[in-house]
Amino acid sequence: MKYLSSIGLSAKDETVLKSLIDLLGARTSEEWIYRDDVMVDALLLDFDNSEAVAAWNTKPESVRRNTIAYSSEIPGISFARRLAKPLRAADLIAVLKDIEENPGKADKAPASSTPPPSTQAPSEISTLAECVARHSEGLLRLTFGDREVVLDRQRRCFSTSESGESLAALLAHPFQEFQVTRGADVNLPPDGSIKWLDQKALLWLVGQSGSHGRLIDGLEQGGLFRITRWPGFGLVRPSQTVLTLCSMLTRKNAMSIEEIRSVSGVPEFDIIAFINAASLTGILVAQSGDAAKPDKPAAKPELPTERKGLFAKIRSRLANTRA
Amino acid sequence: MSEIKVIITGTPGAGKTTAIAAISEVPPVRTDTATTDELADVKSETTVAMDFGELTLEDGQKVFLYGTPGQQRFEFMWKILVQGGLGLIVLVDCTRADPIADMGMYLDNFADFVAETGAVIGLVKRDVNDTPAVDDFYQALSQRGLMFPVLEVDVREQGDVSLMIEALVSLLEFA
Amino acid sequence: MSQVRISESGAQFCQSVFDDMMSQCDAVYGVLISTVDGHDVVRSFKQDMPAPKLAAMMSSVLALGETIAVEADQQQCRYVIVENSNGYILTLRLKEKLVLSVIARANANLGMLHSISRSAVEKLDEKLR
Ligand SMILES: Nc1nc2c(ncn2[C@@H]2O[C@H](COP(=O)(O)OP(=O)(O)OP(=O)(O)O)[C@@H](O)[C@H]2O)c(=O)[nH]1
Ligand SMILES: [Mg+2]
Repeated sequence: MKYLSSIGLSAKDETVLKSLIDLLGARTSEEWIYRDDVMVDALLLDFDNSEAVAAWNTKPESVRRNTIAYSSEIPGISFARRLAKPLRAADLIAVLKDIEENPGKADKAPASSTPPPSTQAPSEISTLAECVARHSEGLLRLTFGDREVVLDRQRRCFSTSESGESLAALLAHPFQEFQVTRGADVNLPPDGSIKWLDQKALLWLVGQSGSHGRLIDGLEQGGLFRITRWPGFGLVRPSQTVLTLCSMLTRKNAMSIEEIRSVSGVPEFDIIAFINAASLTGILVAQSGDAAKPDKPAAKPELPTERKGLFAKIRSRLANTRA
Repeated sequence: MSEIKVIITGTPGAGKTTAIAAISEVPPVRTDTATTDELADVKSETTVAMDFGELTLEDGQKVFLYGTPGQQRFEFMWKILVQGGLGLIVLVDCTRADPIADMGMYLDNFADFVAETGAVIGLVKRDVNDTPAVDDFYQALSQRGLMFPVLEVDVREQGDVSLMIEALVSLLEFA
Repeated sequence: MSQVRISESGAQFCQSVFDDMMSQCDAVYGVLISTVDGHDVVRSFKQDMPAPKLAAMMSSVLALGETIAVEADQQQCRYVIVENSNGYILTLRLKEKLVLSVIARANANLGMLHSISRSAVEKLDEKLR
């Protein structure tokens, strides 16, 4: 049993689709059913409907896999699976059979060459951190003028035109200013001409620079957080703020954003960037804030001011050596 | 005000002397002598008493940096040098046969001091193949009930040495 | 393990030098040759002492002595002497990579200790490679 759904179809097209599905019978190997309310095996997207494309862009990868682009301008679209308007039974059967046989075939995003304007600014993905968090498979290219980053999720690596601090600065631009290309549309130069680095370094920076004060979907603002190890900082030296957060979040007990803020004095904006970065690099443990808190050990006793003063002086002395 | 010291220990040849030379404001005091054992294949001199360097804070207060000898036969120096120390930096040379066991040896020997203060683990010479993943060091730490930063560093770089001290300070204040 | 090893005959020669020292000054109850990096090589102890540990400590002490001399703008550290309520420990360099340590009771004469140690170093210097 397989399920199919659609996004953005006109009322007429939707009716036609449903009746075609009902009539498929034994012409496909599996039985197909039209359903809106379950995890579907195939999704028909009206590619001429830019609002629908924008909405589709914000769906998680699991929903977008096996999307069929339904459009009157087939050549302009670089989807692996396409259907030309109007809907015809033979075409639909062919594409559904293909999905039955190759369910994993890379999902595609609208080509960067001819995207409807709305796909560049999807309504729900508002930060780079969110975009990367949702892109859990395949290639992702972020282009900004002549600067770019390519992330390869399968091989867990990335390449970039930038180095260290300049990459961090690039990733801090608003998400809307990037051109995003996904999957097979990312044309890579021949292997060997690119230098690939461990994706963790990029994921860390994406969280640090590309969070803009917003937690990645799935992380609760009121949740409790800790990290399982210190991050590998990779390309960019961590700030004092980051070191402070590393220390606090490696405590045995998870802490809320509010607790972290009040103990460390670090602004929420930076705490969120840190939590996102930790989540993207896989070192975050998040608990629901509702979950009964384990017996909280007595809070760490406040350090004497003299000692705090000493630490501050050492920090300030060492900050100079890092310039 | 009492003296502030940071102690750097770790495997012979890991770079304790190099690290102190990289960050000290004054020419470091060294007690390196000729190596006469198998270490001679790797380096011609080894520290037999201590390295000593210093940093001056804005109000004139000093932070003293002490490097220990690496070999266990000098453990009497370890005990002398940690007295009154702020915390420990353990450098682990990842070109050696069992870097995780090496880390464990220093954590065992400095256990009392580390329990009172804290430690930062610096992994050096990571540019070789077949060295344990950083996660393996964290796992070994967690088996000891410890959670310390494990940082990949190049001790020839002043900034990396600085990072280890800063991480130590943040650990002492916030962890 | 130390890579510095002394031949059988070399060791015998050292022992004879040690015996001479002890007969010249009967307050001496221990003589040790170790490497500058703290390995023990040959020794003659009249009472039980941890030679490997002493060897490491002697190398630290001598290195510190030599370093302190330089810091205080003094040249050529000849001996490091530890004077205690019930004895002396005197340490000096032997050839390039060795250390000679002499351990004596408090009834020793310090001048005498200097002199027998110095002459022992001269004899050993000649004989050892
Ligand atoms: N190739 C390479 N060499 C390094 C690296 N880090 C340190 N070194 C070298 O390793 C050596 C370390 O020597 P020391 O600083 O004397 O080491 P130590 O820890 O003081 O050694 P002991 O006093 O003998 O215990 C120096 O020659 C450094 O230049 C690295 O990442 N790569
Ligand atoms: Mg050294």
